[in-house]
Parts: sequence; C-alpha cells; structure tokens
Amino acid sequence: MKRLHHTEDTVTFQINDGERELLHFVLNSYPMSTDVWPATEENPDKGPTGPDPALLKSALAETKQAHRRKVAEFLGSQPPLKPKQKQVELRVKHQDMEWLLQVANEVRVGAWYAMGCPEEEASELAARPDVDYDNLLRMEFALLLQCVLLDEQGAS
Amino acid sequence: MPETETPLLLPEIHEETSTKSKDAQAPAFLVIVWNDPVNTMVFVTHVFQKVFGWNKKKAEIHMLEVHQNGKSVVARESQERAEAYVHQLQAYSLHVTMEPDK
Repeated sequence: MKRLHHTEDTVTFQINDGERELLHFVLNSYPMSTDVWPATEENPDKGPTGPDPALLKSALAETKQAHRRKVAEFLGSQPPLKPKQKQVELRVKHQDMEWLLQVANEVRVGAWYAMGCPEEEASELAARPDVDYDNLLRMEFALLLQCVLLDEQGAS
Repeated sequence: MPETETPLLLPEIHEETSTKSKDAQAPAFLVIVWNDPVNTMVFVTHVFQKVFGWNKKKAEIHMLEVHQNGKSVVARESQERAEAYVHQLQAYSLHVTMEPDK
C-alpha cells in the first residue's frame, strides 16, 4: 500500500490486487467484536459498565450499523479492478479516516477475540499448528490499514 | 412633596437555598480505560487525542498509565457525559468502563 497523492479532501493510495482482496475481506468482516472483554488480572470482574449498560450497548449497535452502511458505500465507491490489472487506486476522504480507523480496529479486536485472546506476537501465532489463518489475516491487515491511516494523520 | 406611599405590590423575595448547580450536585462518574494486549500504544494515544481533545503529551501520559498500571481514569464527569465518553471510546474498541466516584 503506497501513498500516491492527496488533494484537499482525498488521499489516494496505490494497492495491489492482493491488498485489494484483503481490504474487502477485512472491511466486509465488520462488525465482529462481541463487545465483551475477557477478565484480566487488573479487572477480574470486567468492571461495571455504568448504570445503564443496555443504553450503551444499543448506542454502540447503532453506531456499528451506520459504519456497516458506510463500509458498503466506501467499497462501492472505489475504482474497480479491471481484468489483468495488478494495481488499483484506493481513495480515502479525510472525513472518512476516523470511522475507517474504528472499523479496522473493531475487526482487529474481534479477530483477536475470536482467536481466544492470544498474547503471542503474530509471528508466534503463525507458527502454531492450530492457528486460525483467517482471523490472523484479519488482525494483521487491519493493523496495516490502521498504521497507514494513523501515519496519514501524523499520529506516529 | 407627597409622602412615599407603601406600594401595593411588593417584590417577591425568594430565600436562596443553594448556589450549587444541578450538575455539581449530581454524583460524578469515573471513566476508566483498561489495558489490553491488542490495542497498540500509538492507536490508544490517537484515540485519547481525538475523544478528549488532549495534546499528544497528555494523551501519551494516560496511554502509558494504562499500559504500565493496567488502567487510567481518563475523565470524571456527570453520568450523561461519562456515558458519552464511554460510547466514544467503545466505538474505537477500547476496553472502557464507568463507575460512581465514591
């Protein structure tokens, strides 16, 4: 994924056919988190989620529904990959950066949760005989996308 | 000159019972972000900057507190505002809870 140029409202990247396929795979996985965090040493009971957890849960579900619609619009608005074409542009509006970051991270966290919340690095996970490659791919490509978007915003 | 007459309508006098606003009397809630092994430090710093409008330095201090101590209290607010922060942080998939400030 290579940054080509940017205008006042859009950043254009160049992605290859494999990255395009992974982008669709990751974004179409959204939403996948269970919104439940595993208990940790510091927070064994997962902590109270506030006086009205149902309200927060429904607000989050609404946000995710809206993001899901945006994902479909975003992917549908991208230039198509023509036969035998190996490179294609990916156009991201500045105003889309933040929700795209939320979507990418949600898929990353969801894939991690689906894999049983492992603490190992990706390279160690890949070496495990029982590795769930689909979710490992989701985690790693979502991380790549996240890094590109954060870098574009000057965060790193 | 005529003498000053007692007016028929006197201004109403209300006894002031409290100067505190409704918000100040409402119980405060703490918004707590918990450590997790999946969200990256750069991402968490970015989220704190976006959600709270903090500069990078302050965001990094809270991010490091989460990373090193397992949690950080990122806000002390009324229930409504605390819920709004929890919602925003959850949208970024951070592990966040809120509880009354005792």
